[in-house]
Amino acid sequence: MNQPREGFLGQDAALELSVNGGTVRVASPPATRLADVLRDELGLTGTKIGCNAGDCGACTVLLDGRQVCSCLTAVAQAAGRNVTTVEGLAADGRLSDLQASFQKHGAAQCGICTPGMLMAAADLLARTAAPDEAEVKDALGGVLCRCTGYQKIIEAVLDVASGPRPDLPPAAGAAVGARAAKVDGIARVTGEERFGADDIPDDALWLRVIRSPHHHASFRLGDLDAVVKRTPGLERILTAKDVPSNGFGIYPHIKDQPVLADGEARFRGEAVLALVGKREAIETFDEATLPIEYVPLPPVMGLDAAMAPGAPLVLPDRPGNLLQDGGVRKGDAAAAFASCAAVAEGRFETAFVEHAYIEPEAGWARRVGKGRNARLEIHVTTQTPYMDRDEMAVVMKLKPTQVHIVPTACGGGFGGKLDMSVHPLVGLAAWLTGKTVACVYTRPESMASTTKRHPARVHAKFGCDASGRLLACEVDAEFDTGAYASWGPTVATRVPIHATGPYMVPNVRTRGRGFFTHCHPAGAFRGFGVPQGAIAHEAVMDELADKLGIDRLEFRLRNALKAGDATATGQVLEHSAGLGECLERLRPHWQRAQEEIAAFNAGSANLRRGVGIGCMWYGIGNTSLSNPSTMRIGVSKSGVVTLYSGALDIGQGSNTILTQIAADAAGLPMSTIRLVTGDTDLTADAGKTSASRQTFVSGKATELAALDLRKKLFAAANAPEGEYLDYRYKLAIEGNGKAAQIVIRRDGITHRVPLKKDILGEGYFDPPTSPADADGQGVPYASYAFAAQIAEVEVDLELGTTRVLRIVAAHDVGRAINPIQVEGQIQGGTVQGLGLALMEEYLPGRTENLHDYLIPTIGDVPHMECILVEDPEPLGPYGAKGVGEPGLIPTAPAILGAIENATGVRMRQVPVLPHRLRAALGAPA
Amino acid sequence: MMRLPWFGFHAPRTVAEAAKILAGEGPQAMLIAGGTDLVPNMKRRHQSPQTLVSLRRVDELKKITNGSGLKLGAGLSLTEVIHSDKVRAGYTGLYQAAAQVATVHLRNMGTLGGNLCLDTRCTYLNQNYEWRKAIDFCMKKDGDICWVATASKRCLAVSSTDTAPALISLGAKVKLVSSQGEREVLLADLYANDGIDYIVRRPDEILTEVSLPDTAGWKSTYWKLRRRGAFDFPVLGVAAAIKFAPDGTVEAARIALGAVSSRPLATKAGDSLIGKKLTDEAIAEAGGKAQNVAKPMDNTDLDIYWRKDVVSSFVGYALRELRGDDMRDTRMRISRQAL
Ligand SMILES: Cc1cc2nc3c(=O)[nH]c(=O)nc-3n(C[C@H](O)[C@H](O)[C@H](O)COP(=O)(O)OP(=O)(O)OC[C@H]3O[C@@H](n4cnc5c(N)ncnc54)[C@H](O)[C@@H]3O)c2cc1C
Ligand code: SF4
Ligand code: FES
Ligand code: FES
Repeated sequence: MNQPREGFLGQDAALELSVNGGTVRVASPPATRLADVLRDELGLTGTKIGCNAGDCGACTVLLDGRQVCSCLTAVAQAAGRNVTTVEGLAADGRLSDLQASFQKHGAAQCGICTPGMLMAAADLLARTAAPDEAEVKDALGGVLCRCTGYQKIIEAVLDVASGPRPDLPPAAGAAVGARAAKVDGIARVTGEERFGADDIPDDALWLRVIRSPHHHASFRLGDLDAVVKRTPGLERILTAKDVPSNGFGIYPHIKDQPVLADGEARFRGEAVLALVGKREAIETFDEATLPIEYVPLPPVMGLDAAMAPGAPLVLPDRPGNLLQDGGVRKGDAAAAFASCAAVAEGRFETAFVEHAYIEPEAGWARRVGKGRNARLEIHVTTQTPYMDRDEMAVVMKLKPTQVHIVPTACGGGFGGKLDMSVHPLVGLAAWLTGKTVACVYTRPESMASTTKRHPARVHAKFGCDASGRLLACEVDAEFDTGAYASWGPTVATRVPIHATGPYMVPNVRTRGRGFFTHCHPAGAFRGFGVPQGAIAHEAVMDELADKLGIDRLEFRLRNALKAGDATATGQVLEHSAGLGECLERLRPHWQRAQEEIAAFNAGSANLRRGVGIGCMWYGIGNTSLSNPSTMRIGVSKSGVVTLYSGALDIGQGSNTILTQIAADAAGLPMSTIRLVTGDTDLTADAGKTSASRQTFVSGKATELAALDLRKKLFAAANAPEGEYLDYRYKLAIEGNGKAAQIVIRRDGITHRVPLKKDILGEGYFDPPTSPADADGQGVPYASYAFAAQIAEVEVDLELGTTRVLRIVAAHDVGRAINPIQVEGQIQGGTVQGLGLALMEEYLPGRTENLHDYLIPTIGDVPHMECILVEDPEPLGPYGAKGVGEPGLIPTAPAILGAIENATGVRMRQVPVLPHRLRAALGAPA
Repeated sequence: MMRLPWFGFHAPRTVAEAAKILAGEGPQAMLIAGGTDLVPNMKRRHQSPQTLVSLRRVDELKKITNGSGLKLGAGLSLTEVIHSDKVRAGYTGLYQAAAQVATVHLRNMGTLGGNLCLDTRCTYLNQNYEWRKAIDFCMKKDGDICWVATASKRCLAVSSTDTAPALISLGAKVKLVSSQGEREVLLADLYANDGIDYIVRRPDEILTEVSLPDTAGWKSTYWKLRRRGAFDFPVLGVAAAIKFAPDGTVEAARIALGAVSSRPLATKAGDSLIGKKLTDEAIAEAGGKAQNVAKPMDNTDLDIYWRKDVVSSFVGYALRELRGDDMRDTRMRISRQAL
């Protein structure tokens, strides 16, 4: 069966096709998918696989010049035809105009969808040189992007006709604030970037996880050795017994999630066994022949079940299924409510939401060295190499220094790649077998087994005086945290702090609790529960404003936190609280929208338009915990400048932003700075890429490192102390190899000193916070981002459908180090917020793929306008704070407010699916 | 991940040759046209043919010819159908249906014949093997009961083809060719209301051609409901074709629905329009009748009651467009395409 049965192919005996202009003969069987042939047989890994089912378009290539899904194309269907992949776009090493335009416009964030997008666009442009926006949307409709919100992709394709070239990198001293192209962008548009599944060594064994089909079950394993013996190519079956310390988890004191379930599976999709062996053997292995005996047990599903008195316990040591009870208390909320002129309250409900990054989890591991020098090396797609290293050390009972994490490019994370996925499995397998072991999750596996956004039930009550000043707030938020803790404690503490919204409220009583259920763990997802909370506080703000007859924007402005105000935790904001300015900048849009909408609604019966506003604040970095970053930048003896960054760029652009900061702080041009990122051997711990912290925390550390380097270079050149801070002195590294020199110029005078040794600058920054007291009082974050967004929607009263027409987003980012990246974060976040509001609802066991779980396509996104407000944060690098999560948080509240404005109906459950809205509108059910 | 195992793979050049191979190989052989339905289904082990017979190289299946009306080869890609001026001019409903199938890259591969033979769909079925095993499978494949309605004696999987309702409303016939000979059937009669045996085509038959009658005096349209602006299978399709007298009186009317049954549903809702003009009342009456016969099942996206409730609205869009109302904005809103 292993020979190509070529005779079957008809007239031409061989299976030959042309790929990127050259003829190739293919040995794979004729029904092999073209995507697999390209990647596995021809090594063209620029073509990505996101779903293997036609649902994502990451695998799009051209077949005889037309875009097709290569994961649905049997290679024999391509015989004798021309296939073009992303690798075929650049001619003679020169980017095509299309690729150049993507690079210029920041159209690639993580880059995993980029090859598919480029191929779809190439097809369009070959037929229509100057397409309009509708044509672009139509042509790219088959490719999903979870990062960008599509707008920059559309702009890039539209701009191709003008023959764009990426702008030159900014000069020394002009990097911060420049719309610089991504420093690591070229590989993303050429298809050379290596993601988790792209660099797996040929000799690797593969690992396949066997997962529980039940939400809750106990199980017994039979004779697995016999299975290994009778199955050629299967080398080993891993069970719970094989794991040295079978528990992992985000918090140092909560290691509750087993790598492999031990006799009891607590969620559908939990790993029970791992098969390790030759790829073909484990892929064709029939799971039904495994001796696993499950006894299904009644699952605890949903908050009501988890909180019911006497409910069965998901974890034996967690009474009441309670994970954590967090809260903030300030003043006397109960008494204050009594004196309020207006009080409003509501109960709001959200669903599980899946990250749906286009790259499923993937990685490989090997054991390097022998005996006491043996180390475990793991190449993996991740957001947090250092945490992975430390967690792996716990699981494997190794010293952290014995674990070496080499992050691959990360095809989207959004919080979902903060928890370990394939790492402990491939790590354990490699350690035990001594061989290289790889694992790539399938899409359903990725969706069934990894974390989700916490479903929440939030009860919020606010009161204000007759002039509209908030006096009191009471919020009780309950979260379904799934079977294991993951980031649940973070959500339970972060939400009560943010539950007041970005407003001054003197009397506060808030609470956040997480409960265990028999679902996949709920973890970190852009905002750690704050988006769920914002839906509640913003709805209540609307209602209070309406009760008092105050304009909704005006009401928020009156209460907006500003410098000098104290937050719910008693923290006095000293600087950088730009919500007021965000609202002021939105005011003309708000007025315009209201006028346009009134005019539209006057002439419309079935369609109603509305405008809504949502505000948010977001503490940057870990809550009430130290979260330091160390960055290094060095000049080698031979004159090479390198930034060593442990901060992972998962598409959000931190590599570029940190390079910009390093350049201006050192006084060197951006283009001279090389980057080494993520590798835990080569870089220092910069902390996680989460909580919107990398620009703020690692950015500051980078600034300090670059200043340190500059100081050391000045010292090496015998410049007077202190002068390094004077940027009229122009620094350069000139010549290379033995001739490398430090050159310092000022006013026509030049100092030259040969570089005699490597010089390294280091910077460390830990934003000042203080732990919370019993009432939650303290300084949980050193800095806060603020934002306000306006959404304009159109509701079809007959169908109950909602279309978002336009979003205007005003964000106080302190300083936009790179406006392209900032806009990209806002737009991408906003579209995820749109999904949260209108489309996305993960149902465990039912929506485990991208045709049942639907994320926005290019056809679903509105026009988005970004307003960047820069109220500088003195602690941050050049005044910057973070923007990664804030983009998402105000969107759903703004959309819900707009629906209310359009229809008079306040939706309290998201997503607002059409049947829900239609029912709420009072249509016959 | 399940890899596709070895298959025999034939790539004949003529229909006769293909028919001969099918006859010789028996039911374990399957036709593959674009493969956009078959390949994922094979991966999920819904179908496990031993031999694939590709129609890609059969040039005679890619022709567009004039008959009494128009003849379309089953091997035309949906993109080719959309770009045919003859289709656009005379068979608007077909054009609009084909243009709303999936996404550009699937329309480039997917064929008209494959779209008409598309397997029925269901949330409990269109899942990988492990998923299906976890629910102990279902009646359509490997199991015994139907999870959509456990008392049901038949599979309720939903017909999800976009072009079939449009072609049914246009009165299309299809030609089925086997080594035994050929037959022509009315497309409406090609389907059965059974999620498993949804098509009366024999395994050795090739659907070669779609023939459309002359459309002088007819106007047609297709409206599709789906959750997003791209990708998704219909959760409702409404196709309507009407023959008008010069004064606007309806002489004949056919309304067919997609995604509300295990087959494309040819309704009698159009009968109520005959002899009338398309007044708002007449449209509402036809809409109500169509809605009554629609039976969406809980095996695809969105709430079933809602899906039934909106049938009359969609019939209304279709008929108002045929009446000559300017529906461009509504079209754009519903399908995000200017069709
Ligand atoms: C993500 C995704 C979204 C989709 N969305 C839609 C949608 O919105 N609307 C829609 O209608 N479809 C949709 N499809 C299904 C499919 O892409 C189309 O229906 C397409 O037209 C099928 O044609 P094909 O040529 O690829 O069929 P194939 O996969 O080649 O064949 C489908 C079936 O028909 C049989 N067959 C093919 N040709 C013939 C013939 N000439 N004679 C007899 N039997 C034949 C095959 O044996 C097979 O059983 C979608 C598919 C995917 C993966
Ligand atoms: S309708 Fe019933 S039998 Fe048919 S595929 Fe769905 S669950 Fe299976
Ligand atoms: S990998 Fe082919 S469409 Fe997702
Ligand atoms: S850039 Fe599109 S998915 Fe990440």
